[in-house]
Amino acid sequence: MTRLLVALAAIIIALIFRNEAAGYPRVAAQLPKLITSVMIGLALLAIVQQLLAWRQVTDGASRYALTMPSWPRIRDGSVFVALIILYAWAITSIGYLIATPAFLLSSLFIARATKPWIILLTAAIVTLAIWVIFVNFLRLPIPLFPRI
Amino acid sequence: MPDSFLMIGLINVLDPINIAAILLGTLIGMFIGAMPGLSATMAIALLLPLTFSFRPETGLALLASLYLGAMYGGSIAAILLRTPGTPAAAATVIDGFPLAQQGKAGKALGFSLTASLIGGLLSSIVLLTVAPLLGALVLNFGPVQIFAIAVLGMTIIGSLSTGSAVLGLLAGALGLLLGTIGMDPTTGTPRFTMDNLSLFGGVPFTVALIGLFSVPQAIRLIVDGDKAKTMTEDAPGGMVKTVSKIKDRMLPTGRQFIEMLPNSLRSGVIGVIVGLIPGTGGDTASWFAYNEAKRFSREKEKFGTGHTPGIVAPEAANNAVVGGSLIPTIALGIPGSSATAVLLGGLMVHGILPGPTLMTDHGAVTYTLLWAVFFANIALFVVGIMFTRACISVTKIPNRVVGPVIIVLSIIGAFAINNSVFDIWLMLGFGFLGFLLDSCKVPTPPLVIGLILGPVLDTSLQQSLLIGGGSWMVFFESKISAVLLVIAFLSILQATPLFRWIGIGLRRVRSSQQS
Amino acid sequence: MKQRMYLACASALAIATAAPLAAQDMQYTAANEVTVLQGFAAGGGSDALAQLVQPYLAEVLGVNFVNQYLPGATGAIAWTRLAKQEPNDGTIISITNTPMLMTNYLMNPAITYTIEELTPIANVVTDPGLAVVSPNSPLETFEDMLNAARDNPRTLTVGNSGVGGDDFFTSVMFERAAGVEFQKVPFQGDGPSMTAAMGDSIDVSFNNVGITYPQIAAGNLRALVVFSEERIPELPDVPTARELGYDVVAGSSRGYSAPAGMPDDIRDQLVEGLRIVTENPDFQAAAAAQAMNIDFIGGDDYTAFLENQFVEFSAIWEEVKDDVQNQ
Repeated sequence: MTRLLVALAAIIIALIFRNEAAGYPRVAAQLPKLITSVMIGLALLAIVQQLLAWRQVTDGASRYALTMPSWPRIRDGSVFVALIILYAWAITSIGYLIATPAFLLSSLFIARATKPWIILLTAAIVTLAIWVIFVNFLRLPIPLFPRI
Repeated sequence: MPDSFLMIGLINVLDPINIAAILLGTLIGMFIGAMPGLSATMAIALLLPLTFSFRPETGLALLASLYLGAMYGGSIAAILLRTPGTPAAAATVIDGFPLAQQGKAGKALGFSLTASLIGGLLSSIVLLTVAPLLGALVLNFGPVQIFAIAVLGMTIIGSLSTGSAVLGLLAGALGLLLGTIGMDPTTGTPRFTMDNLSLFGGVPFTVALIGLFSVPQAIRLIVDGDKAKTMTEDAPGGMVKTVSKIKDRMLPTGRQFIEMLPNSLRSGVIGVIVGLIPGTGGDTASWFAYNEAKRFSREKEKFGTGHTPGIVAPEAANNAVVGGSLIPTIALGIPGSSATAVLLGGLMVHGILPGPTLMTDHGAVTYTLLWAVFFANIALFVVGIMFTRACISVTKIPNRVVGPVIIVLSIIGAFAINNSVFDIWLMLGFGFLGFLLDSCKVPTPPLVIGLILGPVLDTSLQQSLLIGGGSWMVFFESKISAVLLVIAFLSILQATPLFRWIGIGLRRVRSSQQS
Repeated sequence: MKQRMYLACASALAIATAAPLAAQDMQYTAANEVTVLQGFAAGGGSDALAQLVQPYLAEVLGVNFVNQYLPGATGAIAWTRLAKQEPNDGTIISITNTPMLMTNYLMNPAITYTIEELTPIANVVTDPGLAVVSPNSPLETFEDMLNAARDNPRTLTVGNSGVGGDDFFTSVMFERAAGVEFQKVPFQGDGPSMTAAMGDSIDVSFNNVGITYPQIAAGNLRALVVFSEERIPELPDVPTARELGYDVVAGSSRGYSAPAGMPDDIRDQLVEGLRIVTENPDFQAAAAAQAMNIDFIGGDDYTAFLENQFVEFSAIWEEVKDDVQNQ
């Protein structure tokens, strides 16, 4: 079933790119058109493979089965992903020195990664180490504080 | 003349300041490479301005050993954390990480280190001896030949697809498609950039790599904790990660060393040749070497499960590339790769122009650099042994702590390459893509290769057709490209059952003749 | 008469000796630290200029320069930021390359800055364009190249450093002036274009003097013509296009600019500072060692220079763009 979904997604992506490339000059569109054609061909091949495989499976329901991960894993994963996106946004608006400890503390506490004092220590060390090496020494132009 | 430069260079490099620079560069490079999210490219970009105030030889020695150290450090991150620090290390993940998961991280790292030493020394020796002769070869590789090499590179995708071949090819095609993002060379049309200036130059490759590997891995580490599964393992119970012991035997035994020698030497030669050719860099050398190791192996099915030749090949190749890409530099003054171009930039600032004068007027500086590369390989081995033992203890840190730290480093590392906030979001985007691909069991290495080769393929194709006046026969007018294309075609056929059918057909004919 | 002349000479002498002394006392009033935005990666040609000029300029003006690299879109990312977002109080400037500065927004509607949104400070170096061939090439002289192009329209392969770069425009200008048609092949920069010519992959490379000179001197390349006003001293045997009857003078220039609306006195300090640097014999020697051709164009002259170039390139691009898109 996943193979079918992947093939469909590939066809959609190929069509989107192909459509966009239609507006480009001939030379610029050459390779994208070629690649998207190949992608569509391969996707159709994958669909055919999946259909042939399904012929062998007599139990109708198991054909469409998708191995979904358990709810706890989905929940944990989504929370962490949300934190990551928040952190990326926060670095540029609130500044590195506030966003990084916030991210580390929140994700480590929520995941209950280890003892609280180790969490605090880790967040402090990582934030400080990167600050010393990258911002201080190498002068990386990353915003440190909230933009007033 | 060259003989005395050889000696002068040797004496120069043995100067305590330069030796210190080599050791320091190796250590810093290794550290940077080993940090997930930080890359060799970033290291050089950030440290280059600092070297402007040093003497030319010292600055160069520092940068060269930094680069070598970072290449190896990237392998440490690849093996221990599945987050390659450099594109070249992405090939090491395939067999390195599974081996580490089996509790043999020390062995994986030890083999990696030894292979790096062999490959690096091979290319250093070539560099110090026959380089000027080989340099002239570089000029034979114009757009037409580079296109043929890129096509050959694409055929590797077939052999890298663990699991479904069709899905692997799809991933490769997607990589190629993403590689066309950016300004088209002939017409200057920005393709698929959605009017975003940061994409005009194409997808910055290292940023994509960091996203594809580090982010999904970090998510996995946090969600699964210390029960993180390997990529190929999907049994219901999962596989509990075995923490490697520090006292594990690291270096190969004498017998294992001799066994790995043919593989490393062949991979080293591949590294030197690929480094030599301008336009292809370290990124592709390790993949070519991996492919060849698999092709010549009698145990093809073991590749991808923690098979040591699968670690030895890319490691020997990516260290050999550093030397190889310096060959056109010293022979003709032309950079063989983007990293060498940066090194040359470091020279330009001191008034040393890339060109034939590198071997004549500035021969002393050049040969000091070459000897520095030689000694950097040795320093790498020595420092590597100590550093690696320390690194193995990293595996004791709980996964749930490592995950968020990887994210922080990845975001900073992605930003630092171009000082661009957009790159952070691009990296996360690729992270999301990588996560989707892994969940759908679509192999990621083909995507990586497509992304590397896409721009090369497109540029060289357009240039070749312009040179040939629109005729596709231009690829067969050159002996080199014709041969390479034929090899590529045969490689594709080898992957299909065609040869098997021919074999069966021939056997039937023979048996019918006998009866 | 003679007295007035002596007086004039004496005062000129006095001023000449006083001026350097006065210059030592120059102090940049805008800030103690100036950020220099670089639109290209560290280690490239722009960086080489920065590393050469800025130490001298720092001494003259008594400030500290900090380089900030913002590579991407052939400088457009850095220059867009300079034009749109940065303060014009003299704390931030940038190295501006022509023709990239203008051709970026000329050729791409997505790029929105213009030279009106900048305060040009001064140009420092100009690298003249030239045409080179491989030593194995049957083209021995400029005449050969011209005849080959005339006899075989759209066949002679001429490499350049990329669409929108100086070599591309130089080849178009030459095509118009000589009435020929090349088969233009774009490369990713001067280096690959030069290498392709050296390896006989293309017939001719339109390139720049700075990067090709070492190869020419070593005999790995043959220079046919140079696109400057006068012959290059290092290449005395190479004719200029002008003296051969084709008025093509082109090259790539690099200088400094700041956001628009910079106060005049601050701008004058920078212009004066750069002028002093370019007249310093030590600096001149260092620049020559790096094959950089000093071409100081200060203040309003630089503004006029940029505007003229813009007009010239607009006209050319208008003519050529359909051909380029429809290849």
